[in-house]
Amino acid sequence: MADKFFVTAVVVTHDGATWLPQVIAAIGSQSRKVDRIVAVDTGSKDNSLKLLKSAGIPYFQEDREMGYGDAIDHALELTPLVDENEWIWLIHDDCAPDKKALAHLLEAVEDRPQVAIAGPKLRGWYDRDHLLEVGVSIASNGSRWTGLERREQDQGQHDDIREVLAVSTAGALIRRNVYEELGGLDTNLALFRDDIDLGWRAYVAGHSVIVVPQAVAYHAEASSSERRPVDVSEAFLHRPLLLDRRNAAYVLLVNSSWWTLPWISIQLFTTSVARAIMNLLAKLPGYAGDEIAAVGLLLINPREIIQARRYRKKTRLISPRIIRSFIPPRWSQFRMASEGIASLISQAIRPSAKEDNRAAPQSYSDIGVIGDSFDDPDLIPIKDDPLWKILAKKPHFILFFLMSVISLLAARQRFGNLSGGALAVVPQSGLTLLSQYAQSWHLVGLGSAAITPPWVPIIGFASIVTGFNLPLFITLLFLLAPILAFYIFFRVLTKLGSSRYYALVGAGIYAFSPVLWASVNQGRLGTLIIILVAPSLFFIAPFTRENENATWRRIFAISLLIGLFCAFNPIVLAGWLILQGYRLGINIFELRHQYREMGIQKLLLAPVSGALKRRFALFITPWILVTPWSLAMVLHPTQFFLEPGIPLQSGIRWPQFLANPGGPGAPPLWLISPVLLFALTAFTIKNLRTSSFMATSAIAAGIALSAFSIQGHGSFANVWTGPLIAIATALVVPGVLLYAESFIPTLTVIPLGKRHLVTGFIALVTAISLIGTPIWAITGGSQSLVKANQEQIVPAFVTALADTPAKPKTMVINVIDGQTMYEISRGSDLQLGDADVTIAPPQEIVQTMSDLVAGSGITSSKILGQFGIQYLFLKAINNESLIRIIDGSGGFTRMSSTPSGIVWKVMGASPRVLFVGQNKVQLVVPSLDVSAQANLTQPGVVLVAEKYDQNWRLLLDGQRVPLQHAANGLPIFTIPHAGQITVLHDGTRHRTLISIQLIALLAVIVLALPAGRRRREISLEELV
Amino acid sequence: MLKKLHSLWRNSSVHVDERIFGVAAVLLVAFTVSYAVPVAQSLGKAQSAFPATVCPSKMGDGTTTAFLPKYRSLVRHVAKKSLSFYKSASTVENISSNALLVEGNPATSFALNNSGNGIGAVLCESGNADQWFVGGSGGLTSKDQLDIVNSGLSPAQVDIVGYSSKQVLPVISLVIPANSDRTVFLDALVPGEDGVALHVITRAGRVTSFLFDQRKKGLSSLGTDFVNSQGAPSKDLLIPALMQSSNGRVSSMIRVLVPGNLDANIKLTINSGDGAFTPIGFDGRTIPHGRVIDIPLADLTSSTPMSIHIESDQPLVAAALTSLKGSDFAWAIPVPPLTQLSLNFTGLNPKFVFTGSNIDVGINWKSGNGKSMSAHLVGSDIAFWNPGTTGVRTISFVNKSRSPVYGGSILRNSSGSQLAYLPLRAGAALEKSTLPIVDVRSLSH
Repeated sequence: MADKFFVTAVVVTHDGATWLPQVIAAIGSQSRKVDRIVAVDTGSKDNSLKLLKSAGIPYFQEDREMGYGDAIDHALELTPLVDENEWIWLIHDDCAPDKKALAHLLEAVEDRPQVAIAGPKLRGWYDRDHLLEVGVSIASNGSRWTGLERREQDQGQHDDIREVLAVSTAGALIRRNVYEELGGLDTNLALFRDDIDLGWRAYVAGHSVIVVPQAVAYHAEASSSERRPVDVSEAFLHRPLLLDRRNAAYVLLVNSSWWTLPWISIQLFTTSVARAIMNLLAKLPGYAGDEIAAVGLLLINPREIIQARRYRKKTRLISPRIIRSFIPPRWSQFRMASEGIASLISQAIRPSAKEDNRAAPQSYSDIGVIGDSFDDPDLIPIKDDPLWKILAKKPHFILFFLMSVISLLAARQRFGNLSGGALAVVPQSGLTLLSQYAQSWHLVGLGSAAITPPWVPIIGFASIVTGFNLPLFITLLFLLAPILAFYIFFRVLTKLGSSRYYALVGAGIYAFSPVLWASVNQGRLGTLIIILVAPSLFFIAPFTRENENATWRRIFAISLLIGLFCAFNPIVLAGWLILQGYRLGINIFELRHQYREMGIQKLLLAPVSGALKRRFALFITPWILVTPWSLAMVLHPTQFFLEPGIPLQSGIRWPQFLANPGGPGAPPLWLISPVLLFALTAFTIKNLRTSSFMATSAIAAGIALSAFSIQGHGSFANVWTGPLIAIATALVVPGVLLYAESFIPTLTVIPLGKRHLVTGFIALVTAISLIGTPIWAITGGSQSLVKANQEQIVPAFVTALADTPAKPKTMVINVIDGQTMYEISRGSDLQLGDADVTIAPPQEIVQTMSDLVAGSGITSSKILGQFGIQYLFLKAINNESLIRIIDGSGGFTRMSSTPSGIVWKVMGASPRVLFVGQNKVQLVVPSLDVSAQANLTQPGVVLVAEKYDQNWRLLLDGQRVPLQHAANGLPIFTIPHAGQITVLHDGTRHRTLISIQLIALLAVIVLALPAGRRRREISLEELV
Repeated sequence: MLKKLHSLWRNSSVHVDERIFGVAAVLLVAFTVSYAVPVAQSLGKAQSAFPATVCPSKMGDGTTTAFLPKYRSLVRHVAKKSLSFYKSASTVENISSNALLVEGNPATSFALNNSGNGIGAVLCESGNADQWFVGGSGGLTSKDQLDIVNSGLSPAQVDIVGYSSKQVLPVISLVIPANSDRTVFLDALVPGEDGVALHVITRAGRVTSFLFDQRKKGLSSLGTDFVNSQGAPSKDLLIPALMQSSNGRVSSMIRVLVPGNLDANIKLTINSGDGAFTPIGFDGRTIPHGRVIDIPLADLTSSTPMSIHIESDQPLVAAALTSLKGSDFAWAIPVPPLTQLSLNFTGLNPKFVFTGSNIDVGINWKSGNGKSMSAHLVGSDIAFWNPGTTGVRTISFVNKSRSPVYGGSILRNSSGSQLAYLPLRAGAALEKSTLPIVDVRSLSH
């Protein structure tokens, strides 16, 4: 078709011999021939020149470091302008246009005089249906935006000619006079993003850019996929990603309106940091460096941006905002990013799904029995089954529904803010738990510098799923725990190869296990997490010796999961350390001969010690991940046996024997859990002996430990063995059920004997448990210790008073089960995580309270007052003798007496921070929760009514004042002169330990994650 | 059926792995360990302590001396600024115008008032919610006073219910400031009334009250005495020690009050070395309720000290008054059964009277010369004992009998003209309480 245009094709080559033959052939075979062709070679080291020469294309040789724009300019200098209808067709040496590409491009621009640039639809070089670009734009964070999904296939879905911000220079047809008027490609953009910049400039100069999808070009993207070196002089360190990111930022900064620059700069910076973190997580530190360096390079040389903006101002006719419609909205960027991440996660989780689908017959024709036509859906009559039939075929739906109903009925007293049993009052925000973890001084009792256990921030962070609404998160966790346990166990069993029916039985056993319901009813948060995580954790077989030959990634993945597991229950950490320590000992023993021969240094470097090193990593990493908490446990080993939360008495020995932890709210013992029977049965099955032995050992350990009572977490109770029972259950049930599935059918063909009796007995016990436990759960079991919206123990007005500058404390006395108990409150009930950091009060307080209750505490009020305890609250109003004793003890003035309790004011009590001047004048130092500040007008002493800790500091006019130990055990500071004081608790050491923990956690996460691939490591077939 | 099952079992070819016994052994060890562990208990740990006791301040014209249980007992004076305890210089401490607070002690302290015209003894007591005083007078010839001591560090609230021979008087409420005392004169409380009984109720605070009875006739003194307080009204009262009355110089009277809403029917039995008897008119005597009734025990003679046993169908309070004509008088009150008691009688010459159906009292004492001695007093109905000429410093009694034994002491001056009774009762009951534990559960549901 004849047209009025003159087309000059400009080919720039740079080590493109791989693709050049096809490119030359493609140009030569165009249905609308190019009128003129010229090539520029920028110092190719391959035989690109030879190919150009043999193709008879005139070419020029330039420096290897010349940029793309410079090369084009140079070519145009040597090919004079023909007329105003001359177009230049930019061809990359790795871009082969379809034979009708030029014709379609010219056809499109013929009726569109405003168009200055037209580009083809770019498809993959190897996968020719892979859509690479149909026009291109730039996101506000600098990302190259194509609007296409990952590996989107071309099915004609983008085949309308439309205006776009820019088209790739690969195959772009540009009106020559406009190109020259715009000054060509920006020479500061030697490679990458020069196309977007040109498009942007074309728009603000009053032109437009279109993509012509009917014109197709196949692009290998050799530079961006790192298939050839980037040698342009602007490419710092010759790193393509660095150049790309730098150029992206440059394009945005030089073309955007000046008033949007701050916002764009922030976006560029934050996106770079986020990308750098992601690259670090993917173990691509080079790419991470590129992201940061790209922004840095621009900041170093702002003059370049200023000059470029000045230059653009000269040719600008329209506001840069003209291109706003081409900038992708933020939500679509977010959607695309999240879909990409989801796709990656999905692939990571189900890497073989695709292969499985491919391998599995998709149709009858795949089997080869019949022809393709049989699969025609129109020919298959669809018969609608009644609902009951459909449900009968899918019993798991019915059971999930039943499970949900049972859970809802059983939890009818637990809709709301939960507390009770081992579960303290839940703070309103998960962020509170995160900040609690960072604090070095906890406002519990008389104060505590104990290390907050790592489950606290994990729960706080996990509440992100409810928008950090922690009460809702905890309520949902307790409500859904049985359902989740059912689902998780069902999934694990089906993955292990169990049939759906057996998997449902196993899930039922697990979801109705006594340990789960006891944990729910007693508020055992840690054990609930163990129950939910254990099946999936054991699915990856962390105990097997095969791990000694596993990849390091697997080792760290296991360590990470075990660390998470242990964070919720130190008894599990103790068990893990014992088990791995034992195996580590065996490893060391096995290497004794090699040690003698090679010495320690050579041995550790030798492959033979791989198992030892892996075992050591498995041993030490979970322990490191929960530091500094684990360090504290080394100093106080009894802490290993404390469940998160408030200690609570549970069953002793026989309940444990029956796999029931016992205690208030636990299922009755006659609802025998089949777990022990499973464990004993498993011992007769050869390949289940290890898990049986581990499960039985866990139960045996539970029996023994349940008899031990320990002091800790501010209370006293016997060891809670729920986690051990949960682990035993998760270990033994899957194996036995899988065995039963193959064994039970054989019972019909063997003579009646022991097997039938044993199997029948176990089945009977299992059936009783599966039927009885749900009935119990929705009747008696619903009366749990954990309840919703329980009345606050500490009176509201005491809570309000706790916020005054004196920060008074309240001694709360309660009588529970006939035992008089007391604890110091900071104005509220015990909050989640508080019990775990509670430490014993000073002996003075213990003695004073004993004297007070005994009626011999003549000076009780005075001593309590010294510790800043300004109120005494007696919850047990029925204890008349105690009321009379306190009334008669002196120093306590009744403030109120209500049905919820009696409050006395402690006369002459000190504030939290008190200054006593030289002239005995007393001044309340206004106090925040931890720190306090005041301006003192005379020397004296400052008394801090908190437990003594060596990290208490007082700064007088910025200078540290030595800390002293007062006679009553409180911190005290002697103030030598008047001045500004600041009282604070120095958390430097605490923050250091937390930082080390975070670094360790990050390192293990990075090591456990699959490594990202550099683009040059990805096959071209995958990319294009 | 069982046989069939048994044969099925025997015929089975299932091979039981021997290692199952290893598992059984593990479980057995676990159970053994669990049973071997001593059951740790934090609950139910009891503590017992004696509360601090208060001895009265100097009352009337005489001097008051506290007889402390041991040398260097911790004491402090109420109503003084300093709240610090100090160690007593000896076992006998002179009490000034301020009551004396004695740190809790297993032994009992008492105070002795000596005005020269009479002596009176009173137990130092801990803060009491209820104190009944049966004795004293609001008459013109009396100068009786009720001293209310608040040894606590917060204000105390006290209600006083007065009873006269005619009626129940309106309740008087008093607020006693912290660490102070307040004296109420009976002639203001129950003016003109000779028959007086008081019920002092502590509503809040650590309060101990003392009633001091001082009588005169014109300018001459008729004697002084403390009226020891007694506990809640009871249907069975035993006043263990009354001085013998054989020469006509001693007269006795009992004062009873039935505080309830019903009249009481009482029987009175007197025990002495001469035997037990019920005086004429005291077997089934009706005592009207709500009024203080004085009943003279006319023609009562005994060669030995006596005890009085009052049985009633309604709870009542009572006391016995012994008057030495023109020289002194003493109020004796009912006592609870004796269990164990230690006292310091340094410098005094007490006589002890025990009464009960089966008396078996172990006595240990340190004589005036510091020698430790012991005795075993056995008898029935009534028994007497005194430490003899060597004198006594500290003395302790233990009831070894299974039946209740009641004890009292009679104190007289060397001339025998002055008399005081001291009930053998602990001034402070051993306060038993469960040891409170610090526990975060008090802040949780």
